[in-house]
Amino acid sequence: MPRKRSHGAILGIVLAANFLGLTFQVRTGFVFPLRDGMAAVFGGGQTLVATSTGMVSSWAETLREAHGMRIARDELRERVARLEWELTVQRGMLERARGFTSLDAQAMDLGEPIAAEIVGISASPLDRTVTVNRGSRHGVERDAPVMASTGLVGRVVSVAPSVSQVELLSSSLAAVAVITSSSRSRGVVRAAPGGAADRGYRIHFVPVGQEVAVGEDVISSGLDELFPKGLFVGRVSRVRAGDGLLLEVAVEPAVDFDVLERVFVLPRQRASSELPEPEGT
Amino acid sequence: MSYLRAGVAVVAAFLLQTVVLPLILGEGMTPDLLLATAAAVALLAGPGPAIGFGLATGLLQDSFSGGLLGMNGFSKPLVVFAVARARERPPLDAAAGVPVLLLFAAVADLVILWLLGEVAGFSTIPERQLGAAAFGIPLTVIYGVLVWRLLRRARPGYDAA
Repeated sequence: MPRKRSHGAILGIVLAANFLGLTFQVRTGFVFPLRDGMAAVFGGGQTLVATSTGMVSSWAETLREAHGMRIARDELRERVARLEWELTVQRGMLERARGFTSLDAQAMDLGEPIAAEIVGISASPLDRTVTVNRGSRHGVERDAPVMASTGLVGRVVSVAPSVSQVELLSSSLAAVAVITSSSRSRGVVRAAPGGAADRGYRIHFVPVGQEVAVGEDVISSGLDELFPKGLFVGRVSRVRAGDGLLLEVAVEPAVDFDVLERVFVLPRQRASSELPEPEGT
Repeated sequence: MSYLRAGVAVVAAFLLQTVVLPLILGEGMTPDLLLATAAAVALLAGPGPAIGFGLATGLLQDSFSGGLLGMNGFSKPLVVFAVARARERPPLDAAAGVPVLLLFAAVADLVILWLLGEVAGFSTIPERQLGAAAFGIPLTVIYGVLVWRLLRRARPGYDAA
């Protein structure tokens, strides 16, 4: 009990001292020097903690900014891809206006493209395929045409949920039905058989007598029902007489496959047999 | 309980209160970590040390606030002493009594400070600050419980219970 009393007495003294101190301050406006002493003792600790907190806060801010920049970069990439695609379509329409008005007057309507990035090349050096980061989950279908901003790249040969394999036109197995811009010669473009030293295309089945000129544009004709009509494939680079009754027409590819990074997967072309019957038939 | 650890806890609470909390919580919610620490020490050390720790933390708070020196120096020792005394009586001597006593301490401290300003006429507390302090009471209680557990675990010693 005495101990409790002494505690009570101490508390009473403390409270009284504080109360008197408060009254003294209010009456006289006196400022106790304790404040300065406390600031001197604890101010260093505050500075240290504030500096450390500031550093951590700064790091967090930097990380947040980096995250924001990453999102902005992805958005910009997507936007660039869209613009590239629009440019491709505009170019195609211009080409039509220049030389293909009599072939097909309707506007170039290739559907909504799927922008994709090349994430891998074929594991085999003999195989000319690439892997793109879009698959069935994104709407990619097998046999869908694949474009770059400069021209036709190839077609989708296999589709997984998140990736797809694209067979390049430079593959020895790939082929596309084409037509030339001025002479309107039809044929089938395939990779040149010369290997690495001869990396262009050849137009097969062009008969002697066709007036194919060097520099003519080569576009897809749509006859193969895989690629829509009007996709830019390349330019005629050389014409000479071949074996028998056919011309040997060399084509400079529109796409440089060695530096290809981004492509556009178009909706798969419906074969004429898949299309609905016209009304009234 | 080690008094050295208790002192470190007070300094840590002071630094958290003055440097870190303003960055995290802003002005809408201001828990009183120093009161929570002093009350936690009082719960473990008893009424005698409670007065000393209450006075020290109160004057520390007064030194780093714009008000008169002695406002918290008056309220803190009184509140933590009352808490330490109450802790000696059942059923508040149980572990469940700790948050109850911390809640009482937080509310009582605010009431005393308000009375000192409004009734005794020393230094009026703006309503906005009073509201922010009231919103901070739950955090004060949680922090007090954490400190109480940490100090209690540190080393067995005198327990008011």
